[in-house]
Amino acid sequence: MFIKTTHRRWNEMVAELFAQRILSVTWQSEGQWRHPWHVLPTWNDEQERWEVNIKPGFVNHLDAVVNIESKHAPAETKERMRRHGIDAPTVDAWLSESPMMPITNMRKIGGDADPEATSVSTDGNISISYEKVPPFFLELGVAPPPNITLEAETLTTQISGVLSGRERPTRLLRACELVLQQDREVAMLEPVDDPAQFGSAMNYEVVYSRLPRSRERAIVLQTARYVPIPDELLLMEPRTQLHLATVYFVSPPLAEFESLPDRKWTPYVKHRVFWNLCHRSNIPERQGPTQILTLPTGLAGGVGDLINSLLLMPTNDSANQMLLALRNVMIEGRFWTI
Amino acid sequence: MSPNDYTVKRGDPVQPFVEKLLRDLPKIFQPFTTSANVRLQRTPHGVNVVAHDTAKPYVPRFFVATSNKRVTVGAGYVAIDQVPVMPTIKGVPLDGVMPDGKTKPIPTVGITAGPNEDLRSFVCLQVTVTPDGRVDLENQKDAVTIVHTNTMQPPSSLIGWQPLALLVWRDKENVSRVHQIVMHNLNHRFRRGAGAGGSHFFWAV
Repeated sequence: MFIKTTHRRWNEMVAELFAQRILSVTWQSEGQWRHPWHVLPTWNDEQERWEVNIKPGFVNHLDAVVNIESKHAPAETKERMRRHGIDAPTVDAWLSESPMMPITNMRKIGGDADPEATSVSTDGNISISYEKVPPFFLELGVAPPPNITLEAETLTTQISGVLSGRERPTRLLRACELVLQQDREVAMLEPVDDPAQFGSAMNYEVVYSRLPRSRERAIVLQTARYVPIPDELLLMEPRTQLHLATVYFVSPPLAEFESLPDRKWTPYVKHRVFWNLCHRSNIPERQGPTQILTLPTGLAGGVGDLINSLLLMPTNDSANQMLLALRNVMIEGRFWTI
Repeated sequence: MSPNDYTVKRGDPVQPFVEKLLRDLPKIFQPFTTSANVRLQRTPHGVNVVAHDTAKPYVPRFFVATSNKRVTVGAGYVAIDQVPVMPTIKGVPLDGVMPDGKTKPIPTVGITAGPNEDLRSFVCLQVTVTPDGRVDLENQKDAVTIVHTNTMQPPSSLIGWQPLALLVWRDKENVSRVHQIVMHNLNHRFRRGAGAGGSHFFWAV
């Protein structure tokens, strides 16, 4: 095919042709449903930091809160603060007010991670272990952590798995854990003022109430590493926790070790809770004061009863303490899906 | 491939660029990428771009919607003694289908009580039990019903409230948005306390 045309006309035709070209086809589904507690990370250009917006999740009938700087609170939160006369550097912003929580606590996973633990084998070798990189991120090219072993016999250190220079697939990984925490009632001793009973140094009643400054609403906290409350402490903690989500950030290739996520990093979220919740503690019904031992004899015009009561005092005090301990055992908080 | 690859400078021959363009046309007109839910059907006559509308929004049980100072609540069931019961509003089930099969207009609940001082109110499932702790569906009209409230203190411990949705108000008159709380059918149990009262428990089926 031979075309006789000027270069100008030809260039115009080429420009028009390319302008008509379909580069890509994208299906954007507006109004896609986000489940409660859905975490949406976004980069804040002004503050130059990653922030997350959490779709309102409810515990009982209240949406949870995030604690953020007052100056960065949403307009609705600021209006509520003004209405209630709250003036503080930080504020609990309700999730239904659509606050943005800055991500500030992250841990490193992969090539530049900090050691997680050390172990000593039977032959004396010391191994340093690291958190494993989830397979999904290995597929994306995140560098696995190194294998480091200190051999006892030769006193040499073996390091493998660390690549340097051009062969280094240095995509780095950071993670932040979001934890839902609900304050709950705890058992407390309340002295009972009962002048009719003097067979105890002090008579007590077990009452269940929240600690001062505890929140009615659940709060979403962030931590670099989530460690569940140990079972042995679970019953004594005045709060119940639930692991909500993990926010991962993957760097572009060839990122510098120790670098922090910026706009070029890609966020990924692993959700762990998908529905609204109820929370309740299994508080026993009101027990009343502990029953003390008495030995009424009426001897010596009542003086004998007083002496008996004084003799029984240590026993009653011990009984008070024991009863309290027994009643405390079963107090714990639970979440369930609504 | 960009227009620059085919741009001819003044004085240069056009013909080599024509031939290059003809060779490259199939590549030029091949869409580079597609997103999820989009596929390409290639035929001898051309390419069809097919978009699948699979991302339908999830509609939960007891879906609460507001309109003109009233709310409607989508169908949902509450298991009372293991029997699924659809709440009624003034005797009409949420879906408007009466027990005899006849249909009535979808019932609505007024929200004239307005919001609390934080511009919030709740649309609640209300279950009323008798003093002996039973839900008497036969003798008590609307024993399982829907109410609107701006406080979460039921008038009696025999009445249990489970918020279905939070209404966020723009001002004292207008609802700004609705946050759905309950998304599933529910179970209900009443646990009697030491006195006359007790506790209502709701949980997802």
